[in-house]
Amino acid sequence: MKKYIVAGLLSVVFLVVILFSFNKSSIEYTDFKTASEIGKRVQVVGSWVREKPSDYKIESNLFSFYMKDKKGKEMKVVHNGPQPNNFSIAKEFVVQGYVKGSVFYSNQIITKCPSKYEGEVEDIIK
Amino acid sequence: MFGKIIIYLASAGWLLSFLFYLFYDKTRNEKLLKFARFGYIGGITSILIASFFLLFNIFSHNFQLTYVWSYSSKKLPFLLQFSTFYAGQEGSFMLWALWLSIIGIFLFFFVKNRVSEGFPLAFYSLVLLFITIILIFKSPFADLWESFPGGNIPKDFMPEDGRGLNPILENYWIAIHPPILFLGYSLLTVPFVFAISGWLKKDYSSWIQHTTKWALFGAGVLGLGIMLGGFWAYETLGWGGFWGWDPVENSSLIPWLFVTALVHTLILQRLNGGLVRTNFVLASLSFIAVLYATYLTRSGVLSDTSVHSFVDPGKVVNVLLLIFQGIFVVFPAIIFFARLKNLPKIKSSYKLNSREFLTVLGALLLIVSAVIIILGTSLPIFQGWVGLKKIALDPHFYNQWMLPIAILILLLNAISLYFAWKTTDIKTAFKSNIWDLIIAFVVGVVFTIFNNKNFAFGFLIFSSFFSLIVNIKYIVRKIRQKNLRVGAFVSHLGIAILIVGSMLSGGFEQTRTIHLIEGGKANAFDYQFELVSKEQIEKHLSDREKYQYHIKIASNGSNSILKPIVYWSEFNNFEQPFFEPDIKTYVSKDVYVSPKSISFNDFFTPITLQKGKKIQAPWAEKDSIEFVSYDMSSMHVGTNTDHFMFGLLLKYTIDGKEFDDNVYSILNMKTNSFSPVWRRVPTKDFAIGFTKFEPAENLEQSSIQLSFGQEMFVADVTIKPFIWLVWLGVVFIVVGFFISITKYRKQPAPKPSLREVDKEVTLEETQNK
Repeated sequence: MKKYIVAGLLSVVFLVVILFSFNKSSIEYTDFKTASEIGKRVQVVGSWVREKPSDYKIESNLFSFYMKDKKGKEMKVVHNGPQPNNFSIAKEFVVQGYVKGSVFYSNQIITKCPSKYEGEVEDIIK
Repeated sequence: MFGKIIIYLASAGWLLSFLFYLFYDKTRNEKLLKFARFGYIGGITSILIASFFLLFNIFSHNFQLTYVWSYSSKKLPFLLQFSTFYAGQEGSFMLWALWLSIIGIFLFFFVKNRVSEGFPLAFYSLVLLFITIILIFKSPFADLWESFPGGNIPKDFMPEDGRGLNPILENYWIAIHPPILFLGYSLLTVPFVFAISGWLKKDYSSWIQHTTKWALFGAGVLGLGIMLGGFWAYETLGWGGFWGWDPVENSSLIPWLFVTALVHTLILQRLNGGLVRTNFVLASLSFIAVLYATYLTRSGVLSDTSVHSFVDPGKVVNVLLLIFQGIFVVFPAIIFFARLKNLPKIKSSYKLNSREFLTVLGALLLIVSAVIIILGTSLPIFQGWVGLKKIALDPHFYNQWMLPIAILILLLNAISLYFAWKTTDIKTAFKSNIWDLIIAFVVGVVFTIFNNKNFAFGFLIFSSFFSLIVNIKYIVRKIRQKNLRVGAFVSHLGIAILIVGSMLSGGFEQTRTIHLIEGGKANAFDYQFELVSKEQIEKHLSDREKYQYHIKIASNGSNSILKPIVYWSEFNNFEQPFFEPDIKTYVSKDVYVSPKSISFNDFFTPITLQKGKKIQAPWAEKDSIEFVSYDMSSMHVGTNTDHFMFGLLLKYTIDGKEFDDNVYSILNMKTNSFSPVWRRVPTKDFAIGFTKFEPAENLEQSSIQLSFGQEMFVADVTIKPFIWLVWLGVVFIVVGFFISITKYRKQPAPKPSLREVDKEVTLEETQNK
């Protein structure tokens, strides 16, 4: 019986440690406001503010643009890499990174595209 | 219709064989056996026929079937048409059923000659019954008008062509990786049915004998399948690596970890009768993990947190999958607890200095890894349960947990060979092998210094090399003794090579982004890259525009050409390109060139024009551009109604000559975006794009913007040192499993446990009487 109690206790400790490390390794979905407050690596969903300037610097490989999060807050985003190809047609996208000062430094942009990956009725009869 | 009937027949067959095999086992009535076999053979035959029928429909382009229409098309080459068989969910269930049926033929003869057909085939049929039930609800044989009931599709409507395969899958790997992976998954059913059949019959040891080969084979095939997926991702999908701790990858690794743990614990029961319960649990868990993988990847629960696209199969199938899983968790659990008291009492405590003990530790580490991966992968589900926001887990989570586990596993791999079964004189063992340790230690120290004193990394390298040296030593020693039972050592050597490879390729990986215009050059690391030319390939296929970028890579006087691919496809209305990397492999590294984007750098200031106006060309004073009229003649793009081709008719005057040309932009009504189709300006080496439309009251007053740019190929160049060690490592692991199948320790389970089982059975039987 003792053996099982020890094993059980060990498993509980193990699970608790894992739960804590979830917290450390998770990348929360949030908005710019919270992102500025916590300064941790987060993901923010939003859309491109087309009216504001955007540019890509070849030398530094940095693409900067303005993005509006779901709550309407705008922020400058500096992305480490070129402008993703589907960027201009994406309805919204997710940037992964952190806020430093007044800039969101991103190293990943995941675009969600209105593409027809799933068949729809309209596709069948043209 | 025919297809559906066949699926119904198959489920009837499996139901029949499940019930009759079950009762046959209880009654031993030969008549029941006949029915059972009839059902079993009928089930297999129906699945085979259904599979051929599906293939026939694919090859004959029967687009009346939703499945064929969704994933196939006339343009697909033969091999890819073949792969459409399992490109979608319905088909992947069909493939699973097909493999199980094929394995079922071998299993039939296997059990017939060794054990009774009853229980094992009954439960095997039950698994197939469930899959065929899913196939009834998620049928590859559904017609279009059934799949889209509200779509007013006339009966017998046959579309011209199918939608075709997702372009990123159009590669020979899709003909290789999924079938092998599914064969691996399917094979894990066999240890499971042996385990529950054995325990139900209170036979706790002989099922172990039958299971060993199947478990080894399953682990080998599944491992191969997983690796091929990683290689595919690296070689053509351009994900940059071979493993990213993505839910889809994880869910295939979990069953492999369980079955590999099982392979280890089986040995121990064969040796001295211990770990009876562990073996039952592991055999069950490897199968349950397969079901869980199916659930994770088919149910859409993870769609927010993975790079793979998931398609929600609908409520019915989701519920079915849950029930299916529930039954196969509860059922073995009941058997387990019901039999606990009945178990033979075997003293199986191992001495700390025995190889047995280390083997148990090794298996335990595999299980712990599986648990960590399950928890990490299932996190979004747990969060869904308690109503929390779903969050993505950083791959860092897995790396950080797997690092210490990998170190321990490697150390065990090495030290366990010094240890003898039963008991060991540790001092002498280490003394006679001290040089292995010293060499590995030196290598570890060198790497630690070399890699910014990263001690965790150095420790891992030390343990890898330790394991590497010891295993090679033992393989050589065994072969010298003409003993070919080296499977375990070969696999363990593979693990060490794999980890060294992934540490070197990941830890010393370096990436730079290069930008190339045609004829342009860029330097990255010690290489010079030059975009020599761009060549359109597969021109005969009208659904795509596929370009090979010929990139000369030069270093120290040696040149070679890499051909990464950028292509646009009708599949997503030419909205965004698909990329394929190309790799230059050297002995010490891979140079991995992965296209990231095709962009246009501004060449001149954009110009704004109204209809009928003429303006001086930005490149030469004498040249001009006239915006003649709008062109709305080819409005629709592909099949999508949201997209419009917005065109302009331009007249250029260049060096006194006139050129007429059209430029277009694709207007997406859903997102209101405007994406220009860049076109080369006549006689010039740059392109023109219709980049903006500023509407006014009417078209005449509206103005358009024309931009000029040069196409720029942007790619990431990554140096991956010694990544071939990763592939070599996995090859060793898999080969090791296959060696073990033919050359494993053929040692019967020790007598005492057998006798005890017999005694207990007879005791209980007499009590019953």
